[in-house]
Amino acid sequence: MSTTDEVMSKHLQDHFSEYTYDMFMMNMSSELEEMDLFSEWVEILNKKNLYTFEAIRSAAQKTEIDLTRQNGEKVHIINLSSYNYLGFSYHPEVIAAAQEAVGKYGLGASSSPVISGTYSIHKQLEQALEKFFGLPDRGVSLFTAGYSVNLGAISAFIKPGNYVIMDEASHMSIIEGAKLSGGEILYFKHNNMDHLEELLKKTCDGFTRVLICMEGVYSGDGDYGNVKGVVKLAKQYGAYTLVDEAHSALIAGENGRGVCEEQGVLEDVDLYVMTFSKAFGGVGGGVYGKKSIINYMNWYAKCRMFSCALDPAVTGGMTKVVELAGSEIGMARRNKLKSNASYFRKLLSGKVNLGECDSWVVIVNFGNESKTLQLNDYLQKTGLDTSIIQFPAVPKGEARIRMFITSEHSEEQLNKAADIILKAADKFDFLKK
Amino acid sequence: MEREEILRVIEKHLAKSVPGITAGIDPEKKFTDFGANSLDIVEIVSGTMRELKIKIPRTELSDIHNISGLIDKFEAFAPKSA
Repeated sequence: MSTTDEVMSKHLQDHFSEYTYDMFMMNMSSELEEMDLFSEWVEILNKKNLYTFEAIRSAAQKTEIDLTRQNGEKVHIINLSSYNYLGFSYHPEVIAAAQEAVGKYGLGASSSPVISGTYSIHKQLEQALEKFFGLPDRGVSLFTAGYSVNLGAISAFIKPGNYVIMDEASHMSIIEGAKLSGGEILYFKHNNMDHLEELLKKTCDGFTRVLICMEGVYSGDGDYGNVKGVVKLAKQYGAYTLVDEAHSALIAGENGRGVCEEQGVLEDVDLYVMTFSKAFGGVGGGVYGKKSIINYMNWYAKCRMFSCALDPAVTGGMTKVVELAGSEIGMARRNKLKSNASYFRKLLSGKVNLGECDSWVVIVNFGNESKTLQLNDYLQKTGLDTSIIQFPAVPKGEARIRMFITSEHSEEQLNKAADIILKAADKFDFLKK
Repeated sequence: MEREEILRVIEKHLAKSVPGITAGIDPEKKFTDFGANSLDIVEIVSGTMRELKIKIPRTELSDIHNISGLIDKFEAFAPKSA
């Protein structure tokens, strides 16, 4: 170990709990020191019983479950850390559909979707989604991860010399998709249409392709994107739009078609991105748009072309989910989720800093990421599991507790969860003064 | 190593994250003043270290307040010539 590593190691021992993600992000030389130090950090935390990440679930992501921490300690928690918004991941009809599909088609698709991995069940899912969203001349391109949709779709759409203009609060998959594309990347201030217009004036010249990227509901802030405002400016300046509805597809809008439906612009959005791991309760994702664009994506989104097709079990399960989402069950669960989220936010409103969140992604800002480990440890041990997010998911100094409300939570569970949050806010000094 | 030389390398890595940056930036400014976000800063600092072949201990990086402060660190940890 070099002298600098020894200094760092002592620092880890002394300040292990003040860890921030960027500590081990830097690769400074040919040595793999950041990897050795990261492992040491995990070891120290486990010894101190503060490693709350990667806690093991031994059953479905229901509203109340048992967790086993990496060091073996067991805790019983109210589950606000999984984005199974409509409880579809464990719906009996969804499980049965997945079982039937795996029985019929086997475990894997065994080929790229473009070569020989497209099964009849994939076409059924595409058709179910096209019917659900209901616009003419539209298609869906299926991917094996929501992350890959943004990576593949943006890099197929944008090339060096083009521009990607994105909301500064956009998800990492949008940022990485933009970087992969080789286009120039510009950020507009969160939901700030004046700033977006300023950037569009500089970049839209009638020749250069410009893609504006945003989210329907922002995963790090829990607020709605101004899709209507973005679409209006995109039309005015001749830009294209990508809206990531990962946290809002099947939920927002009267029919669950997302924030684009709710704000009346579904028809005007060029690339509608959905993730099957959130309200759909599975894994994978898709991009919905005009058939000519989708046909191209199927071939030129490289991470799709060069990956095995979505597995049959998930595809079968997702097809059933889309059917349920379009039925009375879907409507009832959407409404229950919205009333649950509103109820929970009211329990915390005025007592802690909820930022701008007004959705089922409920955010409590606690600011300094050095509190993360002790805070997460306290929450888990007092019976609440949340999805704490810090840099680089959000800017430094803006760490927050993120909670995913589902349609399946009871009022009693939400009361208990809010009580734990308020006690934590008192203990860790982030109650509103 | 001259401060100007270090600054040129920093500018090069800043320009990778923030399009339009040209030589001659004010070192008294912070990276965020140029529109770089937290993730960009990590890439700029570590990219500069790799190019200059100067390793600044991680523990030394938390008290840097502007680009000039980063240049100070590079100077302090540059291999001493015989």
